[in-house]
Amino acid sequence: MSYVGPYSLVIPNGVKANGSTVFGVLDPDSGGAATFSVPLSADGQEPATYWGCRTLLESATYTALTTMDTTTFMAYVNNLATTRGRGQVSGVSFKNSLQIGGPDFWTFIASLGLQRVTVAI
Amino acid sequence: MSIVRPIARPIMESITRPITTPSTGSAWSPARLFTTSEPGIAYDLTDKTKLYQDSTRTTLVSANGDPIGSVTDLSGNGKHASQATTASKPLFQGYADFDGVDDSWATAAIDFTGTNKATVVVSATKTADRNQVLVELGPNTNITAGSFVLHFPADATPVNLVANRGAVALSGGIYSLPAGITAAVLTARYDLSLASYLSATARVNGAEITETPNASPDPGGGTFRNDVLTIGRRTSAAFTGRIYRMIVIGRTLTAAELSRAEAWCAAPAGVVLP
Repeated sequence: MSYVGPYSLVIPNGVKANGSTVFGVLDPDSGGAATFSVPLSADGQEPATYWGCRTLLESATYTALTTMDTTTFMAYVNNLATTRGRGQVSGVSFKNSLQIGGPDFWTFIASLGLQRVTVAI
Repeated sequence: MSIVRPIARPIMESITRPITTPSTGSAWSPARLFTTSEPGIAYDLTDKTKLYQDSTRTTLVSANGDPIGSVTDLSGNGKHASQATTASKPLFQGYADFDGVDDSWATAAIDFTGTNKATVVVSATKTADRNQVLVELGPNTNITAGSFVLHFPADATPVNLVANRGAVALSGGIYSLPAGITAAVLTARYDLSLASYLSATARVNGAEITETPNASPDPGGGTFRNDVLTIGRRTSAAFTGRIYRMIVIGRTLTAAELSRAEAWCAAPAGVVLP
């Protein structure tokens, strides 16, 4: 399997459900729906206003995320869903709000004015 | 006739030998600790023949940079660690590299209800100085009965290095690690029958470290729980660093067993034990 990255990905809370659905297809393993697992906000307090992750991507998926328009991207996702025996997606709205950064997750979210929502351990 | 022999003979074999057992000479394996079906696990994150890229254990890790989706349990219990979300998979770099963002593994439920004692030995290097979870039984030792946790604490404001919660309360040992320590073999010993902070004690790099007496209540007895082991994360407390080897076992180890377990963990981590 050919991966590129890691990349830092951030999406707004309002499209988290869609992003999770789509990554349920994009992730070559079975747990892609849990990709966006890091809660973020401007002040580090709840509620999370954004969600992030730091992930490898298949090289074709990275190309799809960074170069395709939403129509072409949706076709890419649903072709992948067929190949992988997963359900078709009805929309890819998260892509319009997706921010992609380099491997330094903390520098990237800081550049977006965000911090992790922290919970004392 | 005189016989002249050289006084000094050349060294004919490597000075460094694998850890062997006295009786058999074979390499020591953590499986030797699990002789009476004790619950627990043993993982070697440096051996890519025991690591898979996917949670279904189809594709082996083959090179640095590969994601680790499943880790083979060497204890014989079959409790492999897994992670099905690629974003949350640590990467193989000759060890398991945790990014401190979202990386973790979990096992299927392991039944520790037959014991009130457990031992954890982990070799790890932290690359960020903050309080972070290395391994935990259950979702949150702070609030869940029958749990235990081992942290790699921050230098300045450490949390309990080790803690367990019995039927009644959370108890933990507060330690001051040697200044500036980043690579370590951390050993935790849990016993819910003991009082207060003495129920959770620790060693670092093969040596006992002084526990700070604290007002932890008695854990309240009971046994440990039947639950998943999570490695590397609890909510926001994700581990940043390297994990090399680890053993979690549902009993107290003898001094000899502990010495071997710590040596096995230390070997790939570059940690020198006394």
